[in-house]
Amino acid sequence: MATLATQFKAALTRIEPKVDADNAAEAHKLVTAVLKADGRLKKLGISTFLIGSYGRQVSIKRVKDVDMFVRLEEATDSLRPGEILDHVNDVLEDAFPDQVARQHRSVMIEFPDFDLSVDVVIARPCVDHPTEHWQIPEKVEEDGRANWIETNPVKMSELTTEANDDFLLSGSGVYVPLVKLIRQIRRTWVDEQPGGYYFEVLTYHAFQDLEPHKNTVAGYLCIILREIADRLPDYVTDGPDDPTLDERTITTKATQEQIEAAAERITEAAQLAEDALKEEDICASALKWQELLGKTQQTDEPEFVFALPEACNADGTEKPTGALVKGAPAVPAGRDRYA
Amino acid sequence: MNDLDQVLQVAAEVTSMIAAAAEAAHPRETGGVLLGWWLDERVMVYHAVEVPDPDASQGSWVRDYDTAQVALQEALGDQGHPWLGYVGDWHSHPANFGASSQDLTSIQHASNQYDQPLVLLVHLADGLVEAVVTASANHPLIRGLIPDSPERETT
Repeated sequence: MATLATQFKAALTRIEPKVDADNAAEAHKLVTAVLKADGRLKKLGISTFLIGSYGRQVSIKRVKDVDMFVRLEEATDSLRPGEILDHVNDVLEDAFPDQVARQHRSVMIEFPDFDLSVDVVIARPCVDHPTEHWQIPEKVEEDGRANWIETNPVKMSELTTEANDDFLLSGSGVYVPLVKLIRQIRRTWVDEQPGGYYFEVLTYHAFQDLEPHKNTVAGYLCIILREIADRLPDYVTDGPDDPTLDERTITTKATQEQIEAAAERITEAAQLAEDALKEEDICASALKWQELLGKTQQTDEPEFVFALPEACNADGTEKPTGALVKGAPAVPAGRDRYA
Repeated sequence: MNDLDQVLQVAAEVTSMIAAAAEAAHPRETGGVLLGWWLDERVMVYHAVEVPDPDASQGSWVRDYDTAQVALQEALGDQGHPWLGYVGDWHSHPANFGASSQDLTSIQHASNQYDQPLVLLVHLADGLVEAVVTASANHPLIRGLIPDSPERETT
Protein backbone atom coordinates (compact mmCIF):
# COMPACT_ATOMS: atom_id res chain seq x y z
CA MET A 1 0.00 0.00 0.00
CA ALA A 2 1.59 3.29 -1.11
CA THR A 3 0.55 6.02 1.30
CA LEU A 4 3.24 8.43 0.09
CA ALA A 5 3.13 10.68 3.14
CA THR A 6 6.22 12.61 2.03
CA GLN A 7 4.67 13.44 -1.34
CA PHE A 8 1.36 14.47 0.26
CA LYS A 9 3.21 16.82 2.59
CA ALA A 10 4.90 18.41 -0.42
CA ALA A 11 1.57 18.56 -2.30
CA LEU A 12 -0.04 20.46 0.56
CA THR A 13 2.86 22.91 0.52
CA ARG A 14 2.44 23.34 -3.22
CA ILE A 15 -1.21 24.44 -2.94
CA GLU A 16 -0.56 26.64 0.11
CA PRO A 17 -1.24 30.27 -0.92
CA LYS A 18 1.70 31.70 0.99
CA VAL A 19 2.24 34.90 -1.03
CA ASP A 20 -1.50 35.46 -1.43
CA ALA A 21 -1.98 35.03 2.31
CA ASP A 22 0.60 37.71 3.07
CA ASN A 23 -0.98 40.04 0.52
CA ALA A 24 -4.50 39.30 1.75
CA ALA A 25 -3.49 40.10 5.31
CA GLU A 26 -1.98 43.40 4.18
CA ALA A 27 -5.06 44.30 2.08
CA HIS A 28 -7.34 43.46 4.99
CA LYS A 29 -5.27 45.67 7.27
CA LEU A 30 -5.45 48.61 4.85
CA VAL A 31 -9.23 48.35 4.38
CA THR A 32 -9.90 47.88 8.09
CA ALA A 33 -7.87 50.97 8.97
CA VAL A 34 -9.84 53.11 6.54
CA LEU A 35 -13.24 51.85 7.71
CA LYS A 36 -12.44 52.13 11.40
CA ALA A 37 -11.28 55.73 10.97
CA ASP A 38 -14.72 56.76 9.72
CA GLY A 39 -16.84 58.50 12.38
CA ARG A 40 -20.21 57.14 11.31
CA LEU A 41 -19.01 53.53 11.12
CA LYS A 42 -17.35 53.95 14.51
CA LYS A 43 -20.69 55.00 15.99
CA LEU A 44 -22.32 51.95 14.42
CA GLY A 45 -19.87 49.76 16.30
CA ILE A 46 -17.76 48.53 13.39
CA SER A 47 -15.96 45.24 13.89
CA THR A 48 -14.31 43.42 10.99
CA PHE A 49 -13.80 39.71 10.53
CA LEU A 50 -12.28 37.77 7.67
CA ILE A 51 -14.65 35.17 6.28
CA GLY A 52 -14.48 32.98 3.21
CA SER A 53 -11.93 30.25 2.63
CA TYR A 54 -9.02 32.57 3.35
CA GLY A 55 -10.52 33.60 6.68
CA ARG A 56 -11.00 29.94 7.64
CA GLN A 57 -7.46 29.11 6.46
CA VAL A 58 -8.74 26.53 4.02
CA SER A 59 -7.92 28.48 0.84
CA ILE A 60 -5.63 27.10 -1.83
CA LYS A 61 -3.42 28.73 -4.41
CA ARG A 62 -4.48 31.05 -5.84
CA VAL A 63 -6.55 33.34 -3.63
CA LYS A 64 -8.14 35.89 -5.92
CA ASP A 65 -10.63 37.44 -3.52
CA VAL A 66 -10.87 37.90 0.21
CA ASP A 67 -14.23 38.28 1.92
CA MET A 68 -14.42 40.74 4.77
CA PHE A 69 -17.40 40.68 7.09
CA VAL A 70 -18.03 44.15 8.49
CA ARG A 71 -20.26 43.85 11.54
CA LEU A 72 -22.07 46.99 12.62
CA GLU A 73 -22.77 45.90 16.16
CA GLU A 74 -24.80 48.97 17.16
CA ALA A 75 -26.93 49.04 14.01
CA THR A 76 -30.68 48.64 14.40
CA ASP A 77 -33.22 47.17 12.02
CA SER A 78 -33.86 50.67 10.69
CA LEU A 79 -30.49 50.64 8.93
CA ARG A 80 -31.01 50.96 5.19
CA PRO A 81 -28.58 48.70 3.39
CA GLY A 82 -28.42 50.73 0.19
CA GLU A 83 -27.62 53.88 2.05
CA ILE A 84 -24.93 52.37 4.29
CA LEU A 85 -23.34 50.60 1.35
CA ASP A 86 -23.21 53.95 -0.48
CA HIS A 87 -21.48 55.43 2.54
CA VAL A 88 -18.96 52.60 2.76
CA ASN A 89 -18.39 52.91 -0.98
CA ASP A 90 -17.62 56.63 -0.63
CA VAL A 91 -15.27 56.12 2.32
CA LEU A 92 -13.33 53.48 0.44
CA GLU A 93 -13.36 55.40 -2.84
CA ASP A 94 -11.68 58.35 -1.09
CA ALA A 95 -8.95 56.07 0.26
CA PHE A 96 -8.54 53.85 -2.80
CA PRO A 97 -9.42 55.98 -5.86
CA ASP A 98 -10.45 54.02 -8.97
CA GLN A 99 -10.06 50.72 -7.13
CA VAL A 100 -13.57 50.49 -5.72
CA ALA A 101 -16.67 48.94 -7.30
CA ARG A 102 -20.13 48.88 -5.76
CA GLN A 103 -21.71 45.44 -6.02
CA HIS A 104 -25.33 44.33 -5.43
CA ARG A 105 -24.70 43.51 -1.77
CA SER A 106 -21.10 44.46 -1.10
CA VAL A 107 -18.27 46.78 -2.02
CA MET A 108 -15.23 45.42 -3.82
CA ILE A 109 -11.76 46.96 -3.66
CA GLU A 110 -9.20 45.84 -6.24
CA PHE A 111 -5.56 45.62 -5.27
CA PRO A 112 -3.81 45.27 -8.63
CA ASP A 113 -0.35 45.07 -7.06
CA PHE A 114 -1.50 42.02 -5.12
CA ASP A 115 -3.66 40.67 -7.97
CA LEU A 116 -6.54 40.16 -5.57
CA SER A 117 -9.65 41.96 -4.37
CA VAL A 118 -11.31 42.49 -1.01
CA ASP A 119 -15.09 42.11 -0.89
CA VAL A 120 -16.61 44.12 1.96
CA VAL A 121 -19.92 42.72 3.20
CA ILE A 122 -21.91 44.86 5.64
CA ALA A 123 -23.86 43.09 8.38
CA ARG A 124 -26.27 44.13 11.12
CA PRO A 125 -27.32 42.11 14.15
CA CYS A 126 -30.04 39.63 13.25
CA VAL A 127 -33.51 40.75 14.37
CA ASP A 128 -34.42 37.24 15.56
CA HIS A 129 -31.06 36.17 17.01
CA PRO A 130 -29.26 39.43 17.83
CA THR A 131 -26.52 37.92 19.97
CA GLU A 132 -25.54 35.10 17.63
CA HIS A 133 -26.44 35.73 14.03
CA TRP A 134 -26.12 38.51 11.51
CA GLN A 135 -28.05 39.76 8.55
CA ILE A 136 -26.62 40.87 5.23
CA PRO A 137 -28.46 42.46 2.31
CA GLU A 138 -29.69 39.81 -0.08
CA LYS A 139 -29.86 42.24 -2.94
CA VAL A 140 -30.06 46.01 -2.68
CA GLU A 141 -32.55 47.63 -5.01
CA GLU A 142 -31.97 51.01 -6.63
CA ASP A 143 -34.19 52.72 -4.06
CA GLY A 144 -31.99 51.38 -1.25
CA ARG A 145 -34.51 48.81 -0.08
CA ALA A 146 -33.38 45.25 0.41
CA ASN A 147 -34.30 41.94 1.83
CA TRP A 148 -32.05 40.95 4.67
CA ILE A 149 -30.83 37.41 4.87
CA GLU A 150 -29.68 35.70 8.01
CA THR A 151 -26.12 34.42 8.08
CA ASN A 152 -23.54 33.24 10.54
CA PRO A 153 -20.13 33.07 8.83
CA VAL A 154 -18.25 33.36 12.11
CA LYS A 155 -19.75 30.01 13.11
CA MET A 156 -18.13 28.26 10.14
CA SER A 157 -14.74 29.51 11.26
CA GLU A 158 -15.41 28.12 14.75
CA LEU A 159 -16.58 24.78 13.36
CA THR A 160 -13.48 24.57 11.19
CA THR A 161 -11.21 25.11 14.17
CA GLU A 162 -13.13 22.55 16.24
CA ALA A 163 -13.03 19.92 13.48
CA ASN A 164 -9.30 20.44 13.02
CA ASP A 165 -8.81 19.93 16.75
CA ASP A 166 -10.98 16.81 16.77
CA PHE A 167 -9.46 14.91 13.84
CA LEU A 168 -5.75 14.36 14.16
CA LEU A 169 -2.96 12.75 12.23
CA SER A 170 0.33 12.35 14.10
CA GLY A 171 -0.86 14.91 16.62
CA SER A 172 -1.75 17.61 14.07
CA GLY A 173 -5.15 18.60 12.73
CA VAL A 174 -6.02 16.79 9.52
CA TYR A 175 -9.40 18.39 8.75
CA VAL A 176 -8.02 21.63 7.29
CA PRO A 177 -5.46 19.85 5.05
CA LEU A 178 -8.23 17.55 3.83
CA VAL A 179 -10.50 20.50 2.98
CA LYS A 180 -7.66 21.97 0.94
CA LEU A 181 -7.11 18.70 -0.94
CA ILE A 182 -10.85 18.32 -1.59
CA ARG A 183 -10.99 21.90 -2.88
CA GLN A 184 -8.08 21.13 -5.21
CA ILE A 185 -9.80 17.95 -6.44
CA ARG A 186 -12.99 19.94 -7.09
CA ARG A 187 -11.04 22.42 -9.18
CA THR A 188 -9.48 19.57 -11.12
CA TRP A 189 -12.52 17.35 -11.63
CA VAL A 190 -15.63 19.57 -11.48
CA ASP A 191 -16.69 22.18 -14.03
CA GLU A 192 -17.13 25.48 -12.18
CA GLN A 193 -20.20 24.55 -10.06
CA PRO A 194 -20.84 23.53 -7.33
CA GLY A 195 -18.20 25.79 -5.82
CA GLY A 196 -15.47 25.32 -3.27
CA TYR A 197 -17.60 26.21 -0.23
CA TYR A 198 -20.18 23.59 -1.20
CA PHE A 199 -17.47 20.93 -1.19
CA GLU A 200 -16.06 22.28 2.06
CA VAL A 201 -19.45 21.74 3.69
CA LEU A 202 -19.66 18.23 2.22
CA THR A 203 -16.23 17.51 3.70
CA TYR A 204 -17.37 18.86 7.05
CA HIS A 205 -20.44 16.57 7.09
CA ALA A 206 -18.36 13.57 5.99
CA PHE A 207 -15.98 14.07 8.91
CA GLN A 208 -18.78 14.60 11.41
CA ASP A 209 -20.79 11.57 10.26
CA LEU A 210 -17.96 9.08 9.74
CA GLU A 211 -15.66 10.26 12.54
CA PRO A 212 -12.77 8.66 10.66
CA HIS A 213 -9.50 7.62 12.24
CA LYS A 214 -6.80 6.92 9.68
CA ASN A 215 -3.04 7.03 9.99
CA THR A 216 -2.25 8.64 6.64
CA VAL A 217 -3.47 11.56 4.53
CA ALA A 218 -4.08 9.10 1.71
CA GLY A 219 -6.35 7.01 3.94
CA TYR A 220 -8.37 10.06 5.00
CA LEU A 221 -8.63 11.31 1.43
CA CYS A 222 -10.03 8.00 0.17
CA ILE A 223 -12.72 7.70 2.80
CA ILE A 224 -13.83 11.36 2.63
CA LEU A 225 -13.86 11.44 -1.15
CA ARG A 226 -15.95 8.26 -1.31
CA GLU A 227 -18.43 9.70 1.20
CA ILE A 228 -18.80 12.90 -0.84
CA ALA A 229 -19.27 10.86 -4.04
CA ASP A 230 -21.99 8.79 -2.37
CA ARG A 231 -23.81 11.81 -0.94
CA LEU A 232 -23.74 14.21 -3.90
CA PRO A 233 -26.63 12.55 -5.78
CA ASP A 234 -28.85 13.21 -2.73
CA TYR A 235 -28.43 16.95 -3.20
CA VAL A 236 -29.79 17.37 -6.70
CA THR A 237 -32.82 19.34 -5.45
CA ASP A 238 -31.76 20.53 -1.96
CA GLY A 239 -28.21 21.15 -0.86
CA PRO A 240 -26.53 19.71 2.22
CA ASP A 241 -27.54 21.02 5.65
CA ASP A 242 -25.99 24.36 6.53
CA PRO A 243 -23.80 23.62 9.59
CA THR A 244 -24.10 27.23 10.75
CA LEU A 245 -27.88 27.70 10.71
CA ASP A 246 -30.62 25.36 11.88
CA GLU A 247 -33.05 24.03 9.29
CA ARG A 248 -31.24 25.66 6.40
CA THR A 249 -29.47 24.07 3.49
CA ILE A 250 -26.53 25.27 1.43
CA THR A 251 -27.57 26.98 -1.76
CA THR A 252 -25.57 26.82 -4.95
CA LYS A 253 -25.61 28.33 -8.40
CA ALA A 254 -25.23 24.80 -9.75
CA THR A 255 -28.08 23.39 -11.82
CA GLN A 256 -29.41 19.89 -11.24
CA GLU A 257 -27.44 18.74 -14.28
CA GLN A 258 -24.26 20.25 -12.83
CA ILE A 259 -24.81 18.47 -9.52
CA GLU A 260 -25.33 15.17 -11.32
CA ALA A 261 -22.26 15.74 -13.45
CA ALA A 262 -20.21 16.60 -10.36
CA ALA A 263 -21.43 13.42 -8.64
CA GLU A 264 -20.25 11.34 -11.60
CA ARG A 265 -16.86 13.03 -11.71
CA ILE A 266 -16.27 12.75 -7.96
CA THR A 267 -17.21 9.07 -8.13
CA GLU A 268 -14.48 8.64 -10.76
CA ALA A 269 -12.07 10.60 -8.56
CA ALA A 270 -12.91 8.49 -5.50
CA GLN A 271 -12.26 5.30 -7.48
CA LEU A 272 -8.92 6.68 -8.68
CA ALA A 273 -7.92 7.52 -5.10
CA GLU A 274 -8.81 4.01 -3.93
CA ASP A 275 -6.84 2.49 -6.80
CA ALA A 276 -3.85 4.70 -5.95
CA LEU A 277 -3.94 3.63 -2.32
CA LYS A 278 -4.17 -0.08 -3.18
CA GLU A 279 -1.40 0.08 -5.78
CA GLU A 280 1.75 -1.63 -4.52
CA ASP A 281 4.06 -0.11 -7.15
CA ILE A 282 5.17 3.26 -5.81
CA CYS A 283 5.62 5.01 -9.16
CA ALA A 284 2.33 3.69 -10.56
CA SER A 285 0.57 4.79 -7.37
CA ALA A 286 2.16 8.24 -7.44
CA LEU A 287 1.01 8.76 -11.04
CA LYS A 288 -2.59 8.07 -9.97
CA TRP A 289 -2.35 10.53 -7.07
CA GLN A 290 -0.90 13.06 -9.51
CA GLU A 291 -3.86 12.62 -11.87
CA LEU A 292 -6.27 12.98 -8.96
CA LEU A 293 -4.85 16.27 -7.68
CA GLY A 294 -4.12 17.83 -11.08
CA LYS A 295 -2.23 21.08 -11.46
CA THR A 296 -2.22 24.35 -9.56
CA GLN A 297 -4.86 26.66 -11.00
CA GLN A 298 -4.86 30.35 -11.89
CA THR A 299 -1.08 30.43 -11.48
CA ASP A 300 1.38 31.84 -14.02
CA GLU A 301 3.06 28.49 -14.41
CA PRO A 302 0.70 25.65 -13.48
CA GLU A 303 2.54 22.72 -11.93
CA PHE A 304 1.49 19.28 -10.81
CA VAL A 305 0.33 19.44 -7.21
CA PHE A 306 1.56 15.90 -6.53
CA ALA A 307 5.16 15.49 -7.64
CA LEU A 308 6.35 12.05 -8.66
CA PRO A 309 9.18 10.64 -6.57
CA GLU A 310 12.63 11.37 -7.98
CA ALA A 311 13.13 7.72 -8.92
CA CYS A 312 9.98 7.64 -11.10
CA ASN A 313 9.57 8.49 -14.78
CA ALA A 314 6.73 10.76 -15.92
CA ASP A 315 4.79 7.75 -17.21
CA GLY A 316 4.70 6.11 -13.78
CA THR A 317 7.47 3.62 -14.47
CA GLU A 318 10.60 3.37 -12.40
CA LYS A 319 13.92 4.80 -13.59
CA PRO A 320 16.56 2.20 -14.36
CA THR A 321 18.75 1.57 -11.34
CA GLY A 322 21.98 0.51 -13.12
CA ALA A 323 24.65 -0.27 -10.55
CA LEU A 324 22.30 0.63 -7.73
CA VAL A 325 21.12 -2.07 -5.34
CA LYS A 326 17.80 -1.36 -3.65
CA GLY A 327 17.58 -1.48 0.12
CA ALA A 328 16.44 -4.79 1.56
CA PRO A 329 12.68 -5.38 1.76
CA ALA A 330 13.01 -7.02 5.19
CA VAL A 331 14.83 -6.32 8.43
CA PRO A 332 17.11 -9.05 9.87
CA ALA A 333 15.40 -12.08 11.35
CA GLY A 334 15.37 -12.47 15.11
CA ARG A 335 16.41 -9.93 17.72
CA ASP A 336 19.68 -8.00 17.94
CA ARG A 337 20.63 -6.21 21.11
CA TYR A 338 22.56 -2.93 21.20
CA ALA A 339 24.14 -1.64 24.39
CA MET B 1 37.87 11.62 0.90
CA ASN B 2 38.57 9.22 3.77
CA ASP B 3 37.53 5.63 4.24
CA LEU B 4 34.12 6.46 5.76
CA ASP B 5 33.21 8.88 2.96
CA GLN B 6 33.98 6.21 0.42
CA VAL B 7 31.55 3.74 1.92
CA LEU B 8 28.81 5.84 3.47
CA GLN B 9 26.57 8.81 2.76
CA VAL B 10 23.98 9.93 5.30
CA ALA B 11 21.22 12.47 4.59
CA ALA B 12 21.08 15.39 7.04
CA GLU B 13 17.46 14.55 7.83
CA VAL B 14 18.60 11.22 9.23
CA THR B 15 20.90 12.66 11.86
CA SER B 16 18.38 15.32 12.89
CA MET B 17 15.63 12.71 13.25
CA ILE B 18 17.90 10.48 15.34
CA ALA B 19 18.94 13.41 17.54
CA ALA B 20 15.30 14.34 18.21
CA ALA B 21 14.33 10.75 19.05
CA ALA B 22 17.37 10.34 21.33
CA GLU B 23 16.47 13.51 23.20
CA ALA B 24 12.85 12.43 23.61
CA ALA B 25 13.84 9.01 24.94
CA HIS B 26 16.57 10.26 27.31
CA PRO B 27 17.68 8.87 29.75
CA ARG B 28 16.72 5.58 28.13
CA GLU B 29 18.17 4.30 24.89
CA THR B 30 16.08 4.22 21.75
CA GLY B 31 16.76 3.02 18.26
CA GLY B 32 15.38 1.98 14.94
CA VAL B 33 16.11 1.06 11.37
CA LEU B 34 17.84 2.93 8.55
CA LEU B 35 16.37 3.10 5.04
CA GLY B 36 18.39 3.62 1.89
CA TRP B 37 20.16 1.75 -0.89
CA TRP B 38 23.63 0.71 -2.05
CA LEU B 39 25.43 2.44 -4.92
CA ASP B 40 28.97 1.76 -6.11
CA GLU B 41 30.06 0.15 -2.86
CA ARG B 42 28.55 2.99 -0.82
CA VAL B 43 25.65 2.69 1.56
CA MET B 44 23.28 5.60 0.96
CA VAL B 45 21.23 6.29 4.11
CA TYR B 46 18.17 8.34 3.20
CA HIS B 47 15.73 7.95 6.08
CA ALA B 48 15.56 6.73 9.68
CA VAL B 49 12.60 5.25 11.56
CA GLU B 50 12.26 4.74 15.28
CA VAL B 51 11.28 1.24 16.39
CA PRO B 52 10.04 1.28 19.96
CA ASP B 53 11.43 -1.27 22.41
CA PRO B 54 9.20 -1.31 25.51
CA ASP B 55 12.05 -2.85 27.51
CA ALA B 56 14.70 -0.32 26.47
CA SER B 57 16.86 0.83 29.36
CA GLN B 58 19.69 3.28 29.98
CA GLY B 59 22.05 0.70 28.55
CA SER B 60 20.13 -1.38 26.03
CA TRP B 61 17.83 -1.28 23.01
CA VAL B 62 16.71 -4.37 21.08
CA ARG B 63 15.53 -4.58 17.48
CA ASP B 64 12.66 -7.06 17.38
CA TYR B 65 11.86 -8.52 13.95
CA ASP B 66 8.07 -8.17 14.01
CA THR B 67 8.01 -4.62 15.32
CA ALA B 68 10.84 -3.49 13.07
CA GLN B 69 9.33 -5.08 9.97
CA VAL B 70 6.02 -3.27 10.52
CA ALA B 71 7.86 0.03 10.99
CA LEU B 72 9.89 -0.59 7.84
CA GLN B 73 6.82 -1.37 5.73
CA GLU B 74 4.94 1.69 6.97
CA ALA B 75 7.95 3.88 6.24
CA LEU B 76 8.36 2.42 2.75
CA GLY B 77 4.71 3.21 2.01
CA ASP B 78 5.01 6.72 3.39
CA GLN B 79 8.31 7.64 1.79
CA GLY B 80 7.31 6.81 -1.76
CA HIS B 81 10.80 5.97 -2.94
CA PRO B 82 11.16 2.71 -4.89
CA TRP B 83 14.86 2.31 -4.09
CA LEU B 84 14.42 2.43 -0.34
CA GLY B 85 14.78 -0.57 1.91
CA TYR B 86 16.53 -1.69 5.04
CA VAL B 87 20.28 -0.84 5.15
CA GLY B 88 21.05 -0.88 8.88
CA ASP B 89 20.21 0.15 12.42
CA TRP B 90 20.64 3.14 14.70
CA HIS B 91 20.39 3.62 18.44
CA SER B 92 21.24 6.18 21.08
CA HIS B 93 23.74 6.11 23.93
CA PRO B 94 22.57 8.32 26.81
CA ALA B 95 26.05 7.97 28.32
CA ASN B 96 28.92 9.46 26.38
CA PHE B 97 30.64 6.47 24.85
CA GLY B 98 30.81 5.15 21.31
CA ALA B 99 29.83 1.88 19.70
CA SER B 100 30.33 -0.98 22.17
CA SER B 101 31.66 -4.44 21.40
CA GLN B 102 28.06 -5.69 21.77
CA ASP B 103 27.01 -3.13 19.13
CA LEU B 104 29.69 -4.31 16.73
CA THR B 105 28.77 -7.94 17.29
CA SER B 106 25.06 -7.28 16.71
CA ILE B 107 25.40 -5.30 13.49
CA GLN B 108 27.91 -7.79 12.08
CA HIS B 109 25.54 -10.60 12.99
CA ALA B 110 22.69 -8.84 11.21
CA SER B 111 24.94 -8.10 8.25
CA ASN B 112 25.58 -11.79 7.68
CA GLN B 113 21.99 -12.06 6.38
CA TYR B 114 22.66 -9.69 3.44
CA ASP B 115 24.98 -9.55 0.45
CA GLN B 116 25.72 -5.87 1.05
CA PRO B 117 27.33 -4.21 4.10
CA LEU B 118 25.05 -2.70 6.77
CA VAL B 119 25.39 0.56 8.67
CA LEU B 120 25.06 1.19 12.39
CA LEU B 121 24.65 4.79 13.56
CA VAL B 122 25.17 5.50 17.26
CA HIS B 123 23.96 8.83 18.62
CA LEU B 124 26.29 9.86 21.43
CA ALA B 125 25.43 11.96 24.47
CA ASP B 126 27.38 14.96 23.16
CA GLY B 127 25.35 15.02 19.94
CA LEU B 128 27.95 13.40 17.73
CA VAL B 129 26.96 10.41 15.61
CA GLU B 130 29.33 7.51 15.18
CA ALA B 131 28.98 5.31 12.12
CA VAL B 132 29.95 1.70 11.65
CA VAL B 133 29.94 0.08 8.22
CA THR B 134 30.21 -3.69 8.44
CA ALA B 135 32.93 -5.67 6.75
CA SER B 136 32.39 -6.73 3.14
CA ALA B 137 34.39 -8.32 0.33
CA ASN B 138 35.75 -4.89 -0.57
CA HIS B 139 36.64 -3.45 2.82
CA PRO B 140 37.05 -4.32 6.49
CA LEU B 141 34.74 -2.93 9.17
CA ILE B 142 35.00 0.86 9.05
CA ARG B 143 33.95 3.21 11.82
CA GLY B 144 34.15 6.95 12.42
CA LEU B 145 32.17 10.10 13.09
CA ILE B 146 29.84 11.00 10.27
CA PRO B 147 30.52 14.20 8.31
CA ASP B 148 28.10 16.38 10.32
CA SER B 149 30.21 15.78 13.41
CA PRO B 150 32.92 18.33 14.26
CA GLU B 151 35.61 15.75 14.89
CA ARG B 152 36.28 12.67 12.87
CA GLU B 153 38.17 9.52 13.64
CA THR B 154 38.40 6.54 11.37
CA THR B 155 39.95 3.17 11.94
